[in-house]
Amino acid sequence: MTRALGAFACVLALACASGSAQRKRADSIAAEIQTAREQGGETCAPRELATAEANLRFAQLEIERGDSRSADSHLALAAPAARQAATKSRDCAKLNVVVREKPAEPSVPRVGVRDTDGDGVPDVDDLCPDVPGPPERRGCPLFTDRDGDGVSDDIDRCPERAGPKENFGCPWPDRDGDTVADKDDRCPDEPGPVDNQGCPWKSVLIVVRRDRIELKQQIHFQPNRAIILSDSFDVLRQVAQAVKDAQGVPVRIEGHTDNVGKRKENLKLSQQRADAVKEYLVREGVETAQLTAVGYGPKRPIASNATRAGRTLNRRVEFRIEERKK
Amino acid sequence: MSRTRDTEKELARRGTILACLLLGCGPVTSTRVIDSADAALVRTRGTDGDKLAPYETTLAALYLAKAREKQGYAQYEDAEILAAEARRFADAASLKSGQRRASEPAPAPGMSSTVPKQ
Repeated sequence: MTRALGAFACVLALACASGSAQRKRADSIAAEIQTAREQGGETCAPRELATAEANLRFAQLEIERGDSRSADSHLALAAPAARQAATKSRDCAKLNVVVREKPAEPSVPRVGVRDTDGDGVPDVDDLCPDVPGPPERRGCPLFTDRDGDGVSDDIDRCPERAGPKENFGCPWPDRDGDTVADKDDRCPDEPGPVDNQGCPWKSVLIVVRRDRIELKQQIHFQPNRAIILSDSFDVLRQVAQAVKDAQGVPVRIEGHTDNVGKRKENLKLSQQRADAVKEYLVREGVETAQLTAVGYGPKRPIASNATRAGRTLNRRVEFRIEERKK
Repeated sequence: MSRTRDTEKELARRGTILACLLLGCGPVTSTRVIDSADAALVRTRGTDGDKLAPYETTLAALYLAKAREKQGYAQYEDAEILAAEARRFADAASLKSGQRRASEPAPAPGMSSTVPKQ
C-alpha cells in the first residue's frame, strides 16, 4: 500500500514538473510571438505568425486538459513558426522604415536630389550610386561590365577587353596590328593605313621634306589646258594623304611653265593648273583653308628653257610647306 | 403480470431512446458548428482569402483542423469552441479580403474585358 502511494506521488510529481516546463516553454514562445506581432508580423509573416499563435493556443489547451504529449507536439510546431515570424518581421520592419520615409519626398524638390550616375535613382536610394542601373534593381546594373564595351560580363567572352557584341564582347583579331581588323583588312599580314583598307601603298611617289613635298613623278596636264591627266591621280592622292596627315600645316601649290608663248598666257595657265590641283586635293578631303594656289608662269625656272629637256622640267607643279601661322 | 412486463418494456425502450438522444447532443452540436466553420472557410478561400487575408485564413484552417481532431477524440465541447473560433476567423478573413479587393486599383483602360472591341 505504501509502495503504491509512493509510485502515485512520483507520477504526480513528474506530471507537475512536466506541466511546469511546458508552461515555461509556452511563455517564451508567447514572448517571441509578441515581439513578432509588434514588428508587424501580421503583415510581414502572416502564415508563420498564425501557425505559431494557433499551436501555442492548442498547446495551452492541451496542458489544461493534462495531455502533455499533444501539448508537446503543438509547442514543437509553435516554436519554429514563432522564430520564423520574428525573423521575417524584423527584416520587414527595416523596409517599412523606407516606406515611411517616402511620403516626405514630394516636399523636397527633385532637382536638388543628387544622382551621380544619372540613372534616375537618387543617390540616397541607389545601392550602386556610381554605376547606372534600373530603378527596379535599386539603381544597380543587371550585371557588371568590367571592360565597358556594353556587353555584360555574364555573356562577354573577353570580359577584360572591350569588343563588339557581334564578336561576343571580344575585339576583332588584327594579325598585322595596323588597327584594321582582319575581317576588314585586305592585307591582314602586312600593316597598312585604314584609307588603303589595311594595305601598304604599292609605290611611294612622294617624299615629304621639311619645306616641301617632293614628287617623284610630275603631274601631267592636257596641253595648254588645266585638266589633270589620270596618270597623275595616284601621286595626287598620296599628296592629299600627306597634307591631311600634316594636320593643319599650310601648303602652297605652285604652278610653273616654260617660257614658250606669251608671258601673260603662261601666268594664267599656271594659275589655272595650280587651282585645278587644289580642287583635286580638296575633293580628296584636304581642308581648303590649308591650301593656297599660286601661278608663277615662267618666272621661276629650274632648268634652261633653251633645251627641250629643260623646258619639260620647268613645266611643273610644286608643293611648298609653309610655316604655321601663329 | 403481463401488463407490468409491458410497462417495463416500454419504459426500457423510452429510456434507451432518451439516452441515445442525450449522448447524441454533443456530436450533433459540435458537428453543426464545424460544418458551419468549414463552409465559411470555403467561402473565404473562394474570395482569395489565402492571398488577401493570409493571417486570418491560416488561423481559421488550423482551428478547424484542431476542432475536427477534438471531435475525433469525442471532446465535443473543445471541438465546438475551436470550431466557433475557426468560424470567427474565417468570417474576419472574408471581410478583410472583400475590403482589400474593393480598394485595389481599377484595371487600366483597354485592359478591361468590358471594353467593347472596335
